[in-house]
Amino acid sequence: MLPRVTPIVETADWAASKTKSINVRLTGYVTQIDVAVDLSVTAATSTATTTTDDPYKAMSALKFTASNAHDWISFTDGRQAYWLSYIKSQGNATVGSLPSAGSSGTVTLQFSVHPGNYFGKTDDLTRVIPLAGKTNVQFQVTWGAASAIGTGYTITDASLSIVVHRMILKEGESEADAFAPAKYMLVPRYIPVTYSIDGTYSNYTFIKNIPTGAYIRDVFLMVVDSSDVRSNSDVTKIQVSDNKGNTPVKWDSWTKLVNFIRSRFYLPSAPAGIGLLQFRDIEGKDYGLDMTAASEGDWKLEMSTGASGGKIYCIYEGADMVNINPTVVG
Amino acid sequence: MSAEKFIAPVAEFRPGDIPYGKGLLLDLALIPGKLTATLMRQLVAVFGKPTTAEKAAQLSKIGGVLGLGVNSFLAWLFNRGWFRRLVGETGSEALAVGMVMAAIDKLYPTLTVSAQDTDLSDAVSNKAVDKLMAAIGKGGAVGSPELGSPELSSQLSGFPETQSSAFAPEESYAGPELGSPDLGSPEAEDPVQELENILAQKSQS
Repeated sequence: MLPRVTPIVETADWAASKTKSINVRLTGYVTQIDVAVDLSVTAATSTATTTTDDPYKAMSALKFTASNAHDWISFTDGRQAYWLSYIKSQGNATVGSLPSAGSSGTVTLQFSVHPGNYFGKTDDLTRVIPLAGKTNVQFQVTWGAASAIGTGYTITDASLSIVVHRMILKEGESEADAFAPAKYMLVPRYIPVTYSIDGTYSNYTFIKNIPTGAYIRDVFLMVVDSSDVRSNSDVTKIQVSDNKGNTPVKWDSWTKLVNFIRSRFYLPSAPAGIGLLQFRDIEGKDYGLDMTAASEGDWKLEMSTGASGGKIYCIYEGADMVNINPTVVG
Repeated sequence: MSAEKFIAPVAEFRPGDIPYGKGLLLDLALIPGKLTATLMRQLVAVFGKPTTAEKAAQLSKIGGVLGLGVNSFLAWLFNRGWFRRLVGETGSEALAVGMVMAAIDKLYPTLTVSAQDTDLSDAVSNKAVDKLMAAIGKGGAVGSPELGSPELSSQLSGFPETQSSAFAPEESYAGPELGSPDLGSPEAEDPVQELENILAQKSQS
């Protein structure tokens, strides 16, 4: 196999509250997508107080998908993409500063989506998206409203572009040869789920089922309060339990988890409300939890909450085991 | 009609100048005294609904003091004229003394009880114990954060010897019922982990 780094010329341009797509007419096995966004923003003389990730609110959803395929990559809030990339890249996702009050400017956002186990390697075969035989392969962005960033800020224009990292078969090389001795490949499937916090729950009684139907490696969590600001106090504890009451992963303090994530991923800061639970911690398996034939409720996230009205934005990083197709030849 | 003519001979039964009769009367009088003192303690415990050992100890002290008050009142009552006429001088005096003796006897252990040595099953009625156990079983807040955790709920379902049945065997985590017969076997026999290893090796090479 050979690595390729391919910028796509087509861009997804600004259209408030609309979904725009970039067609990806490539072959090979996608390992990573680098995303760059230029936002043109005008700031009124009076603007709301913002946090680091507010420019990412310009994107209300991001998706990499194709006809008759699961969503390989999927985010339901631009901030998820930023923070997941932030965690995996040791804090090196990019977000520009918003213009000062009364002026205009371009805000640059840049992050990478890498579903594999080794973020630093663009030839990482642990999770690949095979493009052979797929139609309508698209990277989609759903833009937010012009006022999505916050009071006083208006998005006047935007453009999203991507660079695709992939591995291609050498001439005459078959897929079976390339992946041998493996007989399968693991294809990523991001499962975004948003939980609304409808009350104050103690003793881990805010319970949500872990999705089934795939190998679930981890869950990324972004907790926001009722004002949509990331918070460390809306979820206060979290644990993973099975249907027999075992709790192999237990955090008796959300803040401890946030600080632990900082040290575990060598982050420069511990961003409020950002957590990641790796299901490798349960059975020592790199793929996490085998939920392919599980029933709803076999594994659960159980949380304590400190306030009502907030939300928990989750991305379950899953994967499907797909047969190697020996008829695919480079 | 007074009971004096039946009770007085008993009280005067002193073979060899040893007051067996009076001892017997006082001993009998202790029975209702202890009954009322214990009853007060039980009532306070039931209506106070102790959910922690600390509260049970506190209720025990209240019950002890109330028992003293009630028994003192009864002792006073037993010395009234109409009661004296009914049971006679000796009987009413014995009952009054029995009441006070029982109250004092019960007071000391109730006042000195501490949370550490409080046995909830003794301090409250069986019904209250059942309700308490039900509350713990539901994982409700019962004073100690640990009590609400699933682990303890599981432990409560069996003695240590039987915990192996209360807890799933290690290999059943996400286990065979989830469709992967090799889970729980050595890692090399897990086909998905084996695939991960191969792909990781190819990525690192």
